[in-house]
Amino acid sequence: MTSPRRNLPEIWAGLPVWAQEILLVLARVAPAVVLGFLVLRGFRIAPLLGGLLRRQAWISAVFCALIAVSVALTTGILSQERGIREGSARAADKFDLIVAAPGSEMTAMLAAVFLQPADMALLDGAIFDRIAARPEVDLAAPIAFGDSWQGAQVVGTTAPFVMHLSGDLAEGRMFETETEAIAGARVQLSLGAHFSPAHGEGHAAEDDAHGDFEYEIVGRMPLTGTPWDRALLVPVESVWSVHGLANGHDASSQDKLGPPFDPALFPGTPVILVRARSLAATYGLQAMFSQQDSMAFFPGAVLGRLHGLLGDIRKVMGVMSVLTQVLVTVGVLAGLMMLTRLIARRLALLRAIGAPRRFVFALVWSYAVVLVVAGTLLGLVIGIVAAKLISAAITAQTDILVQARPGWPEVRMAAAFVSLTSILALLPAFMTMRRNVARDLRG
Amino acid sequence: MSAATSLPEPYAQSPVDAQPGGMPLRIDGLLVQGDQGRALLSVPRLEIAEGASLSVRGPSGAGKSTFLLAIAGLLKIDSGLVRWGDHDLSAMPESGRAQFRRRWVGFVFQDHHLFEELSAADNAALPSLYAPPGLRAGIRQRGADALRRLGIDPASRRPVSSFSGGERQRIAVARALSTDPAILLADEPTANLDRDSADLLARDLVGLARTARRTLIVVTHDSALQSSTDRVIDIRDGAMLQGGGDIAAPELA
Repeated sequence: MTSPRRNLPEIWAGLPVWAQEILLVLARVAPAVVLGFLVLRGFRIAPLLGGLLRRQAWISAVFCALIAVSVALTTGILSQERGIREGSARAADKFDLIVAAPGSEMTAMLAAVFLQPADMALLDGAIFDRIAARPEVDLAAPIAFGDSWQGAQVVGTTAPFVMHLSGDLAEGRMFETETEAIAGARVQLSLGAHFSPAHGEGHAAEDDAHGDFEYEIVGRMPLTGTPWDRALLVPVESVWSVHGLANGHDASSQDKLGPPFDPALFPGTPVILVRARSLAATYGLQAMFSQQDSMAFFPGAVLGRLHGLLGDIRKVMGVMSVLTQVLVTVGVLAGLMMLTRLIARRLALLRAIGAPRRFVFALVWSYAVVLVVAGTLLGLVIGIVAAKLISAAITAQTDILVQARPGWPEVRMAAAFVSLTSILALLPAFMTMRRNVARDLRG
Repeated sequence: MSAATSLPEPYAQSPVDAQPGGMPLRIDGLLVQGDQGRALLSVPRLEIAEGASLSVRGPSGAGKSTFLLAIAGLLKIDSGLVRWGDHDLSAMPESGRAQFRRRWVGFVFQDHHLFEELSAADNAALPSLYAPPGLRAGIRQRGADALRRLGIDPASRRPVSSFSGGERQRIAVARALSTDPAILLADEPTANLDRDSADLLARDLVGLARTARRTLIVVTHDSALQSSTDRVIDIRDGAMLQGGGDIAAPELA
C-alpha cells in the first residue's frame, strides 16, 4: 500500500496549472483568512467598521492610496519584466540557429533578431554553400543588412525567409525581380510605392550613394510584433547589385532570385539564418559550424542570458519595491496607531458598556485589514494599467510587441502581502486593547 | 414616596420591564489609589439593596466618577471589597469584569457617547454586535422598545447626529436598557441638557429603573434628579461623607 504522503507530489503534478496557481494563492492568503476568523469570530463588526471608515474617510483614502501605490510598484515591475521577456522571446521565435562571422554572439543576435545596426564581418559563399547543401537543413537564408530608407532597415534576403517570417503575406505578392520589395506591417509605404535605399543607417546614411536605384513595394507582411515590422525586405541579389558586386548567379541565370547561389559569385552576408528539420539536427549544425571561420549559436540562448540579466535587475528592483511596500505599510500602521488615539474614547466606551477586549481588538484590526485589502486590490489594478502604458511605449519605441498582463506572480505577491500585513496589523490592535479604559473614557 | 404610581402609563408591563430584579451592592473598605499611590477614593462601608436608587454628589474632582468606575469594574481596586450580589468585582480579572458589565450593567454617560454614523435603533442595539447570536434579537427588540417608550421612533434611519441633545441622551438610555441590566449606572446624565429635557430624562431614568427594580446609581449635580432617587450620598476629597451605610429599596405600590 502506498502512503498518501508519497502520493501527494503525484497528485500535485497531475493538477492543471491554473489549479496549482489557485492553490498557491490560497495558501498565501490562508494566514489572513484564518486570522480573520479567529479575531472576528462571534462578532458583528460591519456596522461600526462602516461607521469608522465613513468618519475617517479622508484618512482612510490616503492610507489606502499609499498602500495602492506601493503595491502597484511591485505589480508593475513583475508584469513589465514578464511582458518584455515574453515579447523579446516571441521576436526571437523564428530564429532557430544563426551563423555569423566569429565575434560577439550578442551583437549578431541583436542585429539579426532585433535589427540593431552593427558592423559585422561577412561570411563567404563557401560557408553558405556548405550549410545550404546539408540534407538536414530546411531553410538557409542570407540576411544582409546595412542599407536603409528613412530609418527603416532594408534587408536583403530570400523569398523562403520572408515566408518563414510572415507566413502568408497580408497583401500583394512576393518579390520576383531585383527591384521589388516587401514591406513590414508598420512601414509607411503602400503597395506600388517606390523608394530609393540609402547606404548605411541612421545619421551615417548616405542618401545618394546608390544613385537612382529604386525599389517598388509589391507585398506587405502581416504584423509580427517584432522590429521586422518596420523593415523593408528585398532580394539579397539586389543588395549585392546596388553595391556593384556580383549577384550570386552566373551569367546564364542573372535574373534568377534566391538559392542556389554560385559560391564563387556570392559576395558575402553578415548573417545566415538556419532552420533544420529536427531539434537534434539543429544542435548538430550548431556544433558543425562553430569553427575557425564561422560561429553558430541559438539566439534563444543568447536572449536567455539577457533575460537572466533582466531578471537580476527585476530582482533588485523587486526587493526595493517590496521594501517600499513594507515601509509604507509600517508607516500606515503607525498612522493607524495615532488614529486609534483619536477614536480611543469611542473604543473605551465600548469597553465600558461591556464589549470584550477582543471586540475592540477586532474592530481596529479589521479597519487596518480593510485598508490593506482595498489598497492591494487598487494597487494591482494601477500596477497593471501602468505596465500596459509602459508596454505600449516600449512597443512604439522598439516595435517589439510587449504585452503586460496580470499574471499569477502578482496575485501570489498580493496574497502574501495581505497575509503579512494582516499579521502586522495585530500590533496596533493589540496596543489599542491595552489602553486604559477609565482614562480614555474621561477623554 | 411612591414613585411607581406617578409613572406615565406606557411604562407599565413593557418588555423592558419584563424581567424585574436588581442586584444588591456591598462595599467594604474600598480603596482606589492613583499613579503615585495617592488615595483617590475611600469608601469604608456601603450597602445598597437591590432595586434601590442612589444619587452621588460632590464637587468636581472629588472622586464621584472614580466611585462609579470602581463599582463598574473599570478600575483596578487596590484594596477592599466591591460585591454585586454574588459577584465579587474586587476578586475578578479584567475579562471577568467586562463579562459582568456585559451581562448585568447598563451605563449612561454625561455626553451620551453615541456612534454618530449609526441610526437610533442601531445605537440602542449596540451590545448586540458582540453578544452571542442567540441574544442578538432580544437586544434589538428591547432597544427598540425602550426607544419607543422614550418617544423616539426606532424605525427612523436618521443618523443620530441629527437628533437633539435630549433625544440623544434618551437613545443612550435605551442602549443601557437593551441588555435588560440588573444595574443602571449613570454619570451626570442630565448635565448637558436644558431644564425641561433634564427633568424628562431624570423622570424616565428613575422610572425605568424603579419599575423593573433595577439598582440605579447616578452621579449627578442635578438636584431634581437627586431628589427623585431614594438616597443621596456626598463624596468629597475622595471620601464618602454622609449617607453611607445601608440603603434600602423603596416599597413598590
